[in-house]
Amino acid sequence: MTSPTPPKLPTPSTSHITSQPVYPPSEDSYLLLDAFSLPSEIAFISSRLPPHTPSPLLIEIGTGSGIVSAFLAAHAGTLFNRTDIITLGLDVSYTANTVTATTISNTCSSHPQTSATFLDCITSDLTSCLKPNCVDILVFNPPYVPTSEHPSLSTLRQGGQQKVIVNAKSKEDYDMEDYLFSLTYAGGDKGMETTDRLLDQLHHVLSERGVLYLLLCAGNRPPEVLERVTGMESGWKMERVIERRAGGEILSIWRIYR
Amino acid sequence: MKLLTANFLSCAVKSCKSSPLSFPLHFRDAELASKSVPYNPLLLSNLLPRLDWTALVTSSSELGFTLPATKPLLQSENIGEEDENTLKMLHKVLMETEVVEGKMVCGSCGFEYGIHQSVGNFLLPSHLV
Repeated sequence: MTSPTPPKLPTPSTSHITSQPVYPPSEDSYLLLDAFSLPSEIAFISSRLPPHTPSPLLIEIGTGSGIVSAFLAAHAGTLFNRTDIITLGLDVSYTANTVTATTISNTCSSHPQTSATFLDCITSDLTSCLKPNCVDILVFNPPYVPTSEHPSLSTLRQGGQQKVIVNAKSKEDYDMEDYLFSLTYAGGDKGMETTDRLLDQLHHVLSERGVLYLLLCAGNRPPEVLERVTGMESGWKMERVIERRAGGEILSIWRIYR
Repeated sequence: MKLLTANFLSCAVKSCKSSPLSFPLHFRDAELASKSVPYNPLLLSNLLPRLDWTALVTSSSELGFTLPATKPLLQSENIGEEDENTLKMLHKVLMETEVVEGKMVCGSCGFEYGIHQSVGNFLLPSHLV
């Protein structure tokens, strides 16, 4: 008996992104697409969120280019066996949110038969804008690179509404570009400073049937994360979905649920 | 921001999360637009059980729409004409009504979250984190 082969689903186009400072689709993004395409993962999610149960809410934190959210939203019928799903994208960068909304809308329009319903992108630090315990599928490709310094969000927090940065020309815009790029990858101590903040609040974020899909690199010390998560109150499980060597990194995706 | 989205948001200030006044946030100075969204009756009928109807009635009235005071009960099998009309009305209000510019205000702390070009800004200033 051969194991079922993953469906061949087209990768969303991000050709509308020209010179905006967002995290470009990279090995870690593609690993997430491959994780959700695994027949074993399609079966797992279908059993957690079977058809006829209330419509699931799917949220990605740190959407960047929007490629992962667009893939999941446009191919919901294939990946989750249902299209009655609503999705939101969250990012600290207003530029990323404007770009992501376009990526998702364009991709869903190309796949009307299998698309979920994309609602909105929201500028938010992690899930702080959400009503407690409403997320059924949460996806996070965090800033995971271990760095000596962890950039603070204070620059984005001051000054109210952010501008969209495109085709930076002034010194001020170049500085903002550098800062936004640093936020996409710099994870501070063990690359875990942002991820740790999410794990701390996870019991307030996920619904009872909710699942977090989290990307880690070897520098995050996955065995230590596993020990921490499974030691948290209310009985969390953490299982590796896929692992891949990419350049100098070993990347893995884990599912975390109660 | 779609009207439906408001049913999943609450004030980002930590001490407000446990306050019933922080949900729903209240729309203010809203400029609306209608945006076409593919109609998915299955989505609407499977969404209904998880929606906070009272909050939805409040949000809708703030944007000038009147929803029934109680959550519509739909037959899960063969949707009749009356139910179909209800679903189409809900689709128009929840999915196709977009707040392009405006604010959402917390009923507990009074903080105002801006909405600009349909994107809500929930990043708090440093002194509120």
